[in-house]
Amino acid sequence: MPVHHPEPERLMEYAAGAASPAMDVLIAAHLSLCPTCRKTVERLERMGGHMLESLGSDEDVVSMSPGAFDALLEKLDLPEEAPQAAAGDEIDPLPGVDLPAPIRETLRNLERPLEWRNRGKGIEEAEIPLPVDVDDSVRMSLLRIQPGRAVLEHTHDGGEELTMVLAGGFSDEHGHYVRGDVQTGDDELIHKPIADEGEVCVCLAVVEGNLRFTGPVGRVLNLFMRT
Amino acid sequence: MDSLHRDETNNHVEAALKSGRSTVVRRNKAHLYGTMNANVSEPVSEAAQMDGLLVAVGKHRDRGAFQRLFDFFAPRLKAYVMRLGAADDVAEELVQEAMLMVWRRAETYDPGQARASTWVFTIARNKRIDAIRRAKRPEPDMNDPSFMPEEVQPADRFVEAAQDEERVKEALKNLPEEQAELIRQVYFQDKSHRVIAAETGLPLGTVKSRIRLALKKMRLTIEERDNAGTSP
Repeated sequence: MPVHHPEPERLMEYAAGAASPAMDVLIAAHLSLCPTCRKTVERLERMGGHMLESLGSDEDVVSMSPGAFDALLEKLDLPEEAPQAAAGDEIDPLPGVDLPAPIRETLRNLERPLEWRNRGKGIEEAEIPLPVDVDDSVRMSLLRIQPGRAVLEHTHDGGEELTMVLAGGFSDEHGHYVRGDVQTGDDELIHKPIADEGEVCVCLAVVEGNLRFTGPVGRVLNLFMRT
Repeated sequence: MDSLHRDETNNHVEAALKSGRSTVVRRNKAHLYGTMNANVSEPVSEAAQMDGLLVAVGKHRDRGAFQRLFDFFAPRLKAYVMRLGAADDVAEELVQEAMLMVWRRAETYDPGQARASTWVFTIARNKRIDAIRRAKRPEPDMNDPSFMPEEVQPADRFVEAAQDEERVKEALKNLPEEQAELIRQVYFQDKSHRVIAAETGLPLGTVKSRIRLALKKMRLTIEERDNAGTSP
């Protein structure tokens, strides 16, 4: 079981639906391996349910248009669109690494195969393109670190970096991280992770840059498509 | 584009599959909710009736029960997605889609696991995100070979679920306004702690510690709850 968890506010954002697409992938992957955090998220979802329930008074709720329920009734008996199996379903996107479903599916849905780039000193990185989101300062990638190699000392310039171990392990001044563990690096942390000897370390990393805040609305809502 | 459209309620299916629940547990739960309702000295609240109605939809495809669910939840869901920035017509459409999903997935609802409002909340939350991203929101999948199951006995979980509901309700009421406002911003305005920090000019660390303080007060994080032992 993982011993290094995402910070509680990250779990709350996941439960509330306020996390970025990349953070959703990392948190969902951690939850796949961490019953403790799943429990916390269940509680945080209960809070969402309670808040929805308490939107009770007349000023709070917004009436549906007349006829909305009748329109819905007509749809109840329509057959549900069957999920289509994709051609890529049998392909293993990252052979040799046991990927939790949220990461495996993200990789299977990529339009191009992963491109590994050499970052020097025994480190390779493959960037994972993200669904469109207002916060374009977020990056997600897979890291492959050769046994015993160190990632260069770095800070995060106003943002944060979350790293989840998928295979192998690494250590930094805060401890030892193995499969399922999540390390959070921020402004204050100058960290220098070193991969364990004997096994290649594979991690999912989500880096949030310095948020350039430009307007009052959190998400771009004109992205909603009428169907 | 396969799994984008895969089953959208893995969590709930998971809940239904995992629960080898017994009637004894059900009675326990009923007892807890009974006590809770007695405390606030009203019969069974409208919200609490929703659990039973959702079960009726799941078991008997009961359209009358579904209409009552719609009347209760649709205006709340519409308010919820509009607070999150959706225009009226977009909100209306999202609510229709969410309620259709409620109808289709009702048989996977397990009243011992969560209140109807929590279950409906997660469906609406996911629908909205999927619509914005045009991609399925990633969630853990209990059928995933990598999935790590939990060791707790199901019986504990149902009693715990009821206790959690009650605690969250009380705690939210007693939260200082500053912290309650932060929670509302995350749930109802889709703001991450980074966005709140950027908007208010507060340091990120300050926003984070305020959120953590609120979660701690509500004993929503596992560590807090477990350290709190048997205190009320």
